[in-house]
Amino acid sequence: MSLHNLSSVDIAQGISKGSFSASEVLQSSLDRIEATDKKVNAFTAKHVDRAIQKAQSIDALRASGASLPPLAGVPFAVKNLFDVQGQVTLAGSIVNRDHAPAKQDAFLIQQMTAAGAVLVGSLNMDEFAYGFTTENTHYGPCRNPHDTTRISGGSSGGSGTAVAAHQVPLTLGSDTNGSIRVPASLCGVWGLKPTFGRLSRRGTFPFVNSIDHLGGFANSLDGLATMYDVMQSPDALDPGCHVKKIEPVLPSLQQGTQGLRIGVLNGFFEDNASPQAREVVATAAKALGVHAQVEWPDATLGRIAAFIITASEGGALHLDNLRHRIEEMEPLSVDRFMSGALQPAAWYIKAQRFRRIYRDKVNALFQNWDVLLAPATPVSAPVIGTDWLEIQGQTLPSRAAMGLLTQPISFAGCPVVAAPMWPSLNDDLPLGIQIISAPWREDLAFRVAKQLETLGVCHLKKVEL
Amino acid sequence: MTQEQALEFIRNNAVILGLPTDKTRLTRVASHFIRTEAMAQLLDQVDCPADLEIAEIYCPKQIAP
Repeated sequence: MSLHNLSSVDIAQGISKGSFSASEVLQSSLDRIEATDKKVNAFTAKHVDRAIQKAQSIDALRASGASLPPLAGVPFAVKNLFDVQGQVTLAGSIVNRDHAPAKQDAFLIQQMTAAGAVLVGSLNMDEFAYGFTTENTHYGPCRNPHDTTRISGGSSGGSGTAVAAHQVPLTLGSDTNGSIRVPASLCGVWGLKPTFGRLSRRGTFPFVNSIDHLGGFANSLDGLATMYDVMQSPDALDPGCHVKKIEPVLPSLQQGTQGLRIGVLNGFFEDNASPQAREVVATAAKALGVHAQVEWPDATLGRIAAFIITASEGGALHLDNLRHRIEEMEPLSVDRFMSGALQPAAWYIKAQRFRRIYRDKVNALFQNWDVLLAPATPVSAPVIGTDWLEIQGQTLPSRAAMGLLTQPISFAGCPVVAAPMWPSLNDDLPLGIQIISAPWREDLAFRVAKQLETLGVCHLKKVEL
Repeated sequence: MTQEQALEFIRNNAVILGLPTDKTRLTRVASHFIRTEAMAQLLDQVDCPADLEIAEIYCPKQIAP
């Protein structure tokens, strides 16, 4: 049996039953990383000693007869903007290398570890999360496991790749404008960007405080749901964490879609989608028996406002780096950081004030709908180094255009499950869909995702590396 | 906004913020800035009433009794 192909649920159950040990699962994951990472470049660090210690503690717990936590012995890895105790938090940069090592794990790593998961490493990303491609100049591009000449998407490219390459069944990432959903789409894995403010961001290197979300990737929907449930917690120490209680999705996962009002986003989400992107949404809609077309309010303006806020906050955050260490910054994003730092305050304030109007319009939309479907990316993974994309007759900058369809959604703070799909027009290259629900209703998006998984519409594919 | 106007704005503000001012870089930055300015114009057309606050993240902490 290849342990590295198993889902997190199968791993946890297998360890619980004694079919294999946590130490064996860990070794299988480390072997897989060793065998494949030269080809995909997902990992920037491995945390072998602590992983061995944690796996041994799980095996000892089982031997003692105690009941095991839900992710006992499941290997996972994190985007390298998460603090890992004793490690420097790089956030994809080299300028952070001289920072002090983190004194403790990020909050979500603590939650995962408390649930029994085993942290094995940190993952490649776009520098400071400003990108959708993970063509990191310092650490090398992350490569798509389905075609290593192509991008993995970003900025959580290593997180998508590590799951798609069967290195680990679960990873954590961040998503400001699409940085979980884009790599999930391009790598063909499950992804979750929860509601803005749902999961604590404490102990992660920020990008845009007013839009940053954390979430995860998984090789199974049940694994994604389990991971999400164990990560939930109020956190008074993160001013951006708005939850007061835990709202698990696992109990309602199997409830089906009967009674749910589901629609397909048209307009902006069709106009900026390739034939392949439109095909996967049509396939999902057909499987669900969905015919309704829905217009998302002010999608273009929402994207613009998110773009302006991102540039301003990102530029301001890295002002000192721009002043003193600009030559050490990522060439693919440094000019955008500098442009953002120079934007007039009036643009930023207008964008933030518009966000209030936008939120109310999006919430009004969800008075009539429970779940909406849209492509996650306009196209499947471009070849590494692609500068321009043709989408519906428009020539667009490739690195920005990959987030066209995700940016308006996250700006409203809505939760999204990114589901892996495989357009018939592609040569085994995935292109995922966004399953979008109203703020704080992750449960509804998960139910629709489960239905699509059950129907065989959304699934992973094995890769040969 | 012309490329020259953008370049002048970028250069002057780069000086104020203590950012590099070499022309090659400023020219590249100006290209990004012009694209953003075109987007900002669209957003500027949205009517925002005076009492519309910005989206909040800051929250005052309650003083412990």
